[in-house]
Amino acid sequence: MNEAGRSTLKLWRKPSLIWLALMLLLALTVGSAYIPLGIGNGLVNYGVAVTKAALVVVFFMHLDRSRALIRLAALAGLFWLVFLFSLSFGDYLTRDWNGSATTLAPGKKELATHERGNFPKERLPLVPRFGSRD
Amino acid sequence: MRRCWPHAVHLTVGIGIVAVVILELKRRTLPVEATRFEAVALYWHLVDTIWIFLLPMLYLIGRS
Repeated sequence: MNEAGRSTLKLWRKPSLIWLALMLLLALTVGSAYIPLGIGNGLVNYGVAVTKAALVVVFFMHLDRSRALIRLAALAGLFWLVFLFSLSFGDYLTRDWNGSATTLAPGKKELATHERGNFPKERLPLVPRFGSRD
Repeated sequence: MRRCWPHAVHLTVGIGIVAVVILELKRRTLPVEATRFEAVALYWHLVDTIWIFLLPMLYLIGRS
């Protein structure tokens, strides 16, 4: 193999391996989605998603060979995203009209209109509750 | 689903600028070392990262 061929191979080798890893993780997450694991489905799906995102950010976005300042800037963005998502989901997932993770108060059969945000009863809950309370 | 249109807009913009960069690289009017090339790649990977999290949220939830 000539010099140009060798350098082309070197250029493609690492991204191809990472792409292969991403495809394997995709197969894992899609395959496991059809196996009933209860809360484990969510754990596998989001665990795989975090791993895939880390591969893309670290290798494809070149954080592995970036300067400390650039890595720090990326981490600051991630830190901010954690705030946004934890506050948003903390709000949404604890509201009854959105199929909250919390249960109704004892003795309370259904939600008042103002509590379900004018959503029609037959469209509730919008997301499945964690665990069953039926 | 209705709230996914911003991702579609980002994706459309991404496909557009990636197509322009590919064309420029083929015509050799843009050097591979160009900052613009890297910025387009970073933007594309950003949209990709968002999709990585949207896939389980939209398509994999409630399959089993």
